[in-house]
Amino acid sequence: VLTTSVLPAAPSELRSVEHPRVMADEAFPVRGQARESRFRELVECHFAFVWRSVRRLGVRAADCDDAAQEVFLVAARRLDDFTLERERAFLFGTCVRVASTRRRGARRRPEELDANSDERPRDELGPDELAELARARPLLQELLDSMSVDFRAVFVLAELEELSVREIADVLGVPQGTVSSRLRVAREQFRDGVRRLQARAAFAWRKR
Amino acid sequence: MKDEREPDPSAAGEAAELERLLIRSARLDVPASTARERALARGLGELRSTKRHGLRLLLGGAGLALAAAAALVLFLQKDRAAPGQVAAERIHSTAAPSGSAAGPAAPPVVHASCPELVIARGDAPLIEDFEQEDSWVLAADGRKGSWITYDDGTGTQVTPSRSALFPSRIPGARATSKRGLHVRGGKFTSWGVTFGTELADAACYDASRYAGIELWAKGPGQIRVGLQMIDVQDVKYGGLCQTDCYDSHRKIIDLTSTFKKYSVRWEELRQLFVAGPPVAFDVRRVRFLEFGIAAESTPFDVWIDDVAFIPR
Repeated sequence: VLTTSVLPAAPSELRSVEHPRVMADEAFPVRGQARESRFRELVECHFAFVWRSVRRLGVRAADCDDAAQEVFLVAARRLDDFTLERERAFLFGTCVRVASTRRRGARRRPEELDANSDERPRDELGPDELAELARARPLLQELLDSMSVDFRAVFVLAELEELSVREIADVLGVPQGTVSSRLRVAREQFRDGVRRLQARAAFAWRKR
Repeated sequence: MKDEREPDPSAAGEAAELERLLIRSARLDVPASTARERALARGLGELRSTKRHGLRLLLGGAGLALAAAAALVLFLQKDRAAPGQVAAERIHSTAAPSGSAAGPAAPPVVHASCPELVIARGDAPLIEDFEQEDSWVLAADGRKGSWITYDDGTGTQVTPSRSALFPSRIPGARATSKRGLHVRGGKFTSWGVTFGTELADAACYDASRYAGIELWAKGPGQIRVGLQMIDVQDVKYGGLCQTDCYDSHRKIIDLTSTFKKYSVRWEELRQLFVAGPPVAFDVRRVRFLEFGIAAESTPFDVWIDDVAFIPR
């Protein structure tokens, strides 16, 4: 035993509001509360992004809720493994893995968008535009599904999430030059796909 | 006849329009609000189930503690004599560890129980170099914990109170060190800010094989470097203190505007604000390595790096 303090007592206010120090979970609830608080913020800030991402990375609309939950379960388990600045990067990387697993397990049949679909239109869309977009959405998915994961990820983040090249590089953890070159190829693939759709539509029209 | 390779302006226009339509169709990708609530509930359940699992382990360990204590102490003595082994011992026991704060030769002192005890071997002094991008301390010599910050609620920190702290890149680096822990914040008017880490998760940590703490830091202002014994922690949070808690053993150090190495030896630690009966410092039953910033040192902008125990 080394020492006993002989210093005078502190003013009472210095003692009366002492910090609720904590260490571990159940026995030390404040630490647990901090983690829960961070997780709540994570879901609040990023749920829509995660849901959109798994959808655009190929998860069927009906499975997107489950896939997004899976992403956040992984995040809950690994909450101490990524920084606030890297949250979106961590979540998107997890989206890629979860979507990849679910795509492999999904039945290979064309997806139809119907009234029971989980895809919910924004309130500001009129009925005509909504109908037009609803017809177009499965075609978009078809084109996205035709891309490899690397190109699709860049395309989704650039064209659909409207992130800058620098932001995409940060999310994917690759150099900006790599993002630019992948984006260039992805856009070419997308345009090729659009031309195929046009040709298919023209062929179908001629067959009538 | 028209060259087939020449682009058809009308077709190109239609293609561009179709491209835009397809991109716009992604606006339909909107989750239901209930989906977010379900994800939140499931994730919180996951967090809480992890905690319950940890508690079950703790209670189960306590149930075996008395039966295992004697054998473990014997095993410990044998292990301490064996050179070259690096794993620390984790025991569940109401018995005090061997040795004492003053040195291994002193007679053991029996204290109120630590629910679990990790005894450091003293062969891995580096606690944290902050070069990893996570909030965990380096897993060495039985240590387990993550960096976290608290404040008195009267001001604002860049990292909010009760949040995990992560390393930041040191502008211009410090020698070979690229990252450190950076804490910043505004004016506080009560007890200020405390950040730090557990040393052995919920267990007590016996650091008697080390002689003190050393670190690199830069200011301005002062920080209070110290250790919290289980005895000064509130019983509500697993400690043994009933009133006037968290008067941990600390030393005030004055920081400079450039990184400087500081050393704090156990014998320099003092309770700064003794209110009730003083608690004698015992480095064999510490739980939290803390760095305090008093209200008078706020606003604050402090870096620490390469936090380590001082080998004996």
